[in-house]
Amino acid sequence: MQPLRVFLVENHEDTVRYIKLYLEHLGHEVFIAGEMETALREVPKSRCDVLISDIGLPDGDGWLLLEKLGPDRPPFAIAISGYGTGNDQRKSLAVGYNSHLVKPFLPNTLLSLLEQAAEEKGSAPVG
Amino acid sequence: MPNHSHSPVESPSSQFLDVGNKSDPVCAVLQELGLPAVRIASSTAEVLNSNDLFSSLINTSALPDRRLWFVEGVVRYLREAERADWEAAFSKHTPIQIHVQLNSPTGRPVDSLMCAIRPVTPASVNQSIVCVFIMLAGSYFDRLHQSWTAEGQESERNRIRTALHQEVAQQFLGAAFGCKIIADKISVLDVNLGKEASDLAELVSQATQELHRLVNPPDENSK
Repeated sequence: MQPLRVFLVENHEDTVRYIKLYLEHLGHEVFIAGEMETALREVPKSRCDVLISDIGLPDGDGWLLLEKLGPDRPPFAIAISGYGTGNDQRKSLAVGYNSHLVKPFLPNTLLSLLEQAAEEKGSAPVG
Repeated sequence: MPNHSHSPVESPSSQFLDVGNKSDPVCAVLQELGLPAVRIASSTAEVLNSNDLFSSLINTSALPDRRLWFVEGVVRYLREAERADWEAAFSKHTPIQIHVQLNSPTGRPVDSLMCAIRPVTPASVNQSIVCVFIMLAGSYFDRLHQSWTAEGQESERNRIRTALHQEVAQQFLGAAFGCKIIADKISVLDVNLGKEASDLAELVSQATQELHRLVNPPDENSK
């Protein structure tokens, strides 16, 4: 899998630490934000390939984040959440997330989605 | 002995005693304590006031005249011996505790201990008796206890669910990812150790999946 630029928006310390370690272990470059406002400022600058965002954020939520990013949103986005009702999952897909993972999810589940993102990136037209 | 069969509407004392729908502080306090209570006139036994718990025990739809709730809804269900005791205490204005089996609106008999007292009250209501009903085990208390138990269980489930979402699920996620990283790294150094680490990572993953199922049981919305 080709290395990706991944932006992780999450405020739980342990979750951030281990997902970041795992992504770096896989060879990806990782950017971090713990709040929506920071993410809104930093995501466009990062030119990331993948956004992984928690739905519950201290100053907003992952759905609002993706909506506010508008055209600056990365080509692939994954919502992560402690709550996994059907409505939450549908809302994530409706606002533009490619997938909604419910915590605690497995490393291999995330890996599969990153492979999908890498494939889409590889097949995307250049420019 | 009071004439329980006459209509309180005709009673000369009725207007004097009737406090109507004004709030009765004694009945209100007893309601807060979960005790059905009714205030009756000390001469006619007509209802002066009552709390909602009391009215929920009486088949009020069959008794449109609220003033008859006690005579028709309570006294008529007293057994002979209790009725005699009640009438003696009523005529002497003495406190009494007697067993009464009420005919609730649901049709189920409700066993209770009725305590009748003549409270010290302001002059406007001093010719009254307050009857408090203590539900006996086997009926009301059992259901109340079951209700409290169910509420407690649901509250505890919610507490555990919240704790799982907010902390434990996050820690399991971290543990699963951490184990996976370590297993991958050890595999490069030592195949056997790597296999053991992979087994451990798999165990954590299985626990993670199990926790996932516990925290997020399938719901109607996820269909």
